[in-house]
Amino acid sequence: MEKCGEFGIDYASQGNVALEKLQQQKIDLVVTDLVMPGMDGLELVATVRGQHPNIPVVLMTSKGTEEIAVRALHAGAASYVPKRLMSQELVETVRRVLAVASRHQVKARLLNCMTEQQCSFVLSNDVDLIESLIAYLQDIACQMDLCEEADVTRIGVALEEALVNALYHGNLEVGSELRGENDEAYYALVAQRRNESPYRDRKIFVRATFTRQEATFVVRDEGPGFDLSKLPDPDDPSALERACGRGLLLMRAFMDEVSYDATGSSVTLVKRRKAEPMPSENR
Amino acid sequence: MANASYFPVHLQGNVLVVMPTGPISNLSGQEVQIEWEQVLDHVHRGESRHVLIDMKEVTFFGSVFLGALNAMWKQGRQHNGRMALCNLSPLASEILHAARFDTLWEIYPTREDALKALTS
Repeated sequence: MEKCGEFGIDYASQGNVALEKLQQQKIDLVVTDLVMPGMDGLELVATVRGQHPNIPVVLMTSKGTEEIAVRALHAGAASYVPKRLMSQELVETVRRVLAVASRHQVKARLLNCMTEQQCSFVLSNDVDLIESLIAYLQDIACQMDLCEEADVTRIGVALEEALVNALYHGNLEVGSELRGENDEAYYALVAQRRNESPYRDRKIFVRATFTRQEATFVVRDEGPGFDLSKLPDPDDPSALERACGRGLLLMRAFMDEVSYDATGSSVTLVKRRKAEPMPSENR
Repeated sequence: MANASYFPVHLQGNVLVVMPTGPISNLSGQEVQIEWEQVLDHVHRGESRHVLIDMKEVTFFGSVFLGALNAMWKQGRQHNGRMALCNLSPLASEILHAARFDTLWEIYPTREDALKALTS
């Protein structure tokens, strides 16, 4: 690598020395042996991944360490080069990994310039799709730097309540009164209506809009809607023992704004950013 | 209950200790419900007087699990038993508070505290 003259190279005698250098200098990539005194290559990969997720690590592997190399790749190593092929492959591997890392960094900078993102979905009454959609929307909330990790989970809990309402109570028209009282009947009715017209043909419509200031989610079902005023008063102790209304309480607790349309079949959830948005480039 | 995967249980004196293994989402399938009903059966048959739900492994949950816990609480009450929860994550505590159950159910920081309270 020194011979090709393309790279400035610094050396570390062991893993913890490498980590100190990463703290002190701007390093673009780490090449490491698997077997080292003190911290081994596997531990170094995991630590670099945790502390410097944008710095790729390339492993040098020798015969008999292939299994550990696979574990290192799982732990986040970018690539590996067998020691016996180092003279032919190391430079090319480093070039390739640096090129990929550079593209990722530019993409991260680009996404940091994004001011708004919108997406819409039309879902069948499929639980797997709902789970996947929640994870997807949580990822965008992270990408837009809207909230800390705990708030991402809160968004997930609130969205799940809204989507579960749309699916079971909205489209399938299965009331929550059965839940907790007669679960067998509840699930039997869910299964029956999943295959029965008109319930099975109904869709869930989701529209999400993310800005640097807030995320807005609109969840609409094709059921008959409900009368919000008929929900029990959450502050009435006797209401606690009943099964309905808890989902709405959780939505209200974890979102900044929750509102239903007049029919009760469309709910809008808003989560606002707590702190001022980070200044993005080109603005 | 030997093969319980979502709700492993064991008896500690006259307390049935249930340790749900997360995640228990609103979208969890019917198999979760079936297993929960087996736990409820324990209480219904009177094999234990009190129930302790140790939430150490569950970071968060939704209204469906709240409903399941409520059914357990009501069942226990019919048998003059008590239900308590312990080891709640901060988010789980928030969920119970939001749904107003923190005023209704017994909540303790540790399993030891909960067992002591239930058996005293």
